[in-house]
Amino acid sequence: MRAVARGAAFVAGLLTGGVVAGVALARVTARTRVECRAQAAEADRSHRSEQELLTKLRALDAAKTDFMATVSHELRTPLTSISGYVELLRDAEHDELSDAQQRMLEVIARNARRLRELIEDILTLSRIENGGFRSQPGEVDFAEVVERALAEIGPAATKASVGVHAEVRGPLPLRGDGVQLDRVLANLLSNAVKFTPAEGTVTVRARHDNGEAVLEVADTGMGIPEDEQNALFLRFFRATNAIRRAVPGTGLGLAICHKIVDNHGGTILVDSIENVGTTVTVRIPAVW
Amino acid sequence: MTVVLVADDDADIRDLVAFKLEQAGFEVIAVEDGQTALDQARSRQPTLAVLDVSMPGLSGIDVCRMLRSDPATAGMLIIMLTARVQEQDVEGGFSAGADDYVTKPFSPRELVSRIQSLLSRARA
Repeated sequence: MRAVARGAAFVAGLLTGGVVAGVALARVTARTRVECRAQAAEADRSHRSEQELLTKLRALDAAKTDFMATVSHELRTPLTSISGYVELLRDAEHDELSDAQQRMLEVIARNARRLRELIEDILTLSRIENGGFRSQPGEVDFAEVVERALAEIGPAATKASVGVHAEVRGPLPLRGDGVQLDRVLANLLSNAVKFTPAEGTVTVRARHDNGEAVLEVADTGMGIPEDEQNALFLRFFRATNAIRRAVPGTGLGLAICHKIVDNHGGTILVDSIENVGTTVTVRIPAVW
Repeated sequence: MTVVLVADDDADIRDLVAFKLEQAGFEVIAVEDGQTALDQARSRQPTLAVLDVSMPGLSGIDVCRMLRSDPATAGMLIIMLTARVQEQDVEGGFSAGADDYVTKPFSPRELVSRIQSLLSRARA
């Protein structure tokens, strides 16, 4: 497990590197503007060196993306064998394995699934963190995105005995990436259901407000301890109460949501009281 | 018995797929590289080929393209296995002429049902 943790920290470091590069890019641009006004020749020289820096940063970013694809490939291959052979064993005749052995296989299968989710999430983050879109942004009806996610979460909510109430006032047209917005909705709804005990409720509201599409996902779940709320969007962060109750998760879901909403020029806010519930509010400009 | 060719350079995955397919009643030819896959596909004419995308030498995509361009093997059903999920990899596989695409890690059970559905579609 130590190797996996180290790997995760390494990848997190890489991701952070991308953010630092982004900030550096922003600084370079701001500085260039000032110097242009001051001294043309000096500005020209610094512009050239900054162009070189930009080129270097872009090359670094491309190398990182390439590295992430390779890492993902290298991790997926052994994972295929682990989860594949576990499936073969679990499919064996029932009297071939004891109950204790079946339970052990269950643990291996669950953890293989968790590793797979981690790989997927890390890849998604590395793809979107520099503002990249999976596809060309186009016109998306946000109300449809919400309806799709509601339909998909249905079975999981029923299984967990969590009631889902929805109030969607569409259409909510905006310019964006439908696939990424699907991901935001899937993450938010699955969180709400996952952290809400049986007989609890999840309320989803979507409406238009002052040039923005507004989404609220409110649950009556375990909530997030107050002193941990500002860390919610950090990569690999998991609330202590979630860990204590062994709620599964990668700690990357909200970081992904935050980045996608940010790429759409929007905001995401979390309002939570421990043991009472959590409300996540997403606002995305209709036109940007 | 329906003959299926399985090509993957990872021995564990090759054995996994072969075991599951034999259990499902197929006759399996298992090979570890693209060139052998191509040779076996030409000489033994399997109904279906499961090709790993990244193999040393000829990749699964190369093999797929070569099988499609040869009239003797052009009609073979082909499923690609890949550990890469980037869109361009999936598109690359389909543009080479693959009938289906399975991403690693995959469930052996799901792979068998994909194979069966491809076979029944081909027979229809």
